[in-house]
Amino acid sequence: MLKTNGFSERSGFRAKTPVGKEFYFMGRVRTDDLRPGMVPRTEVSTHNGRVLIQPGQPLTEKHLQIIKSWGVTMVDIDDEDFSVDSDLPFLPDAGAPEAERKALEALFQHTDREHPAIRELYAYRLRKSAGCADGGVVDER
Amino acid sequence: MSAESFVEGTVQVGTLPAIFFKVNQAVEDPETSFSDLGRIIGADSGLTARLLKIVNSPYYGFEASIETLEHAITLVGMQEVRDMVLATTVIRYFRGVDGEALNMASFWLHSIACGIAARNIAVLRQEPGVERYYVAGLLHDIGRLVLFMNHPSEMKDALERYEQGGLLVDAELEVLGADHAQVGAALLAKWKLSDRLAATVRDHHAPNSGAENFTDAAIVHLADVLVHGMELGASGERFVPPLSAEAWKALGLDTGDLAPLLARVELQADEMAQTFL
Repeated sequence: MLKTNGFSERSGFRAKTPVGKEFYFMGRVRTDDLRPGMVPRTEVSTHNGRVLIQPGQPLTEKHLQIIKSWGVTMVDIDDEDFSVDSDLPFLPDAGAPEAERKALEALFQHTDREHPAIRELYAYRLRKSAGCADGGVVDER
Repeated sequence: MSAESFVEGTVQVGTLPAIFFKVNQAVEDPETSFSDLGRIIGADSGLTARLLKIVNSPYYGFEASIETLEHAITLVGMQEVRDMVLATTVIRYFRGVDGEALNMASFWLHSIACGIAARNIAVLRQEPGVERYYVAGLLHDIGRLVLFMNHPSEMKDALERYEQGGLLVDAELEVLGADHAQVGAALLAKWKLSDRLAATVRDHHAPNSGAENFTDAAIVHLADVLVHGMELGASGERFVPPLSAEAWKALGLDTGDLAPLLARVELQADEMAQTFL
């Protein structure tokens, strides 16, 4: 099976948080990082619950097209090597200038930085500060 | 003072232009045809030009260019056109206003971006009538405009308190006895817009899980937080307001949905700001 963590080549960031903690990989994979042959651990379904793919069968190119065209953003994958935990967004450990980091900390002072949605929003801003023009996102929808 | 008293007897925020009510009435009337509605809107050339510009923007993504109002209404539907007319007339209505403490271009950028974010969240959730969410997001801070315009010295006090810590919405309540969310809802009620819209604006800082409009309020609440986080415009508040964990949970979004959503909102907000402002 293909051995890659899927995202590092694209975004060029190392898998570390700003405090240097190693990332913990588990079963959620972003749609952009899916590859044929990966095996969904749970049903792949749309926002309104329509089941697209049953668990247990390896993904084909056609499956990937279906997943993308329905706007599914994350899939549970059986092989931990492929995946990134959606609750631990990808924070660049270097790149954002110190002054911008400080400004962001002030901007987010009233928020709960531990909340997954706030963490994702914060990570988006950090990625942009680090020079990723679109916040590191390739949106194909 | 009650929130209603802030919007009574003020010269600057009396009523919306008549064109909106004509359009609203026509949309409510089942007898109205697309060409009837086209004729009503067509009487206002500035509005017509703006609507055509909006439906031809990449935001809608129609392939062929749309040259008549009737064609536009056929494509996007009467309700959506009504909501566009509302958005356009409100922004045009406040055009002449310039608060000392409030940068209007920045205020409208924040409002437009919030509308776009709310619309995108609604699309993700597959809510019907997504243009409604655009309007709710666009108008969520309209009460602040009223407060800055009509109560500048009290707002100055509120801003001074805010500088010492805490949230501006709390400082407003302490100084004025009503906050911008309540005043905004009172204004929308005075304009005879829907109760649902007014309630959504009223609850956008604190969506109430027991209320009928919880989902609407939660969508606008999240949109407001995201847009503050991206620093797209500003409406007096300098910091990202706290996110209600309950609202986030109720919306059922995946954190993986957020980054693509944020990227889309930034692109579309830029586009819409150029169209509207």
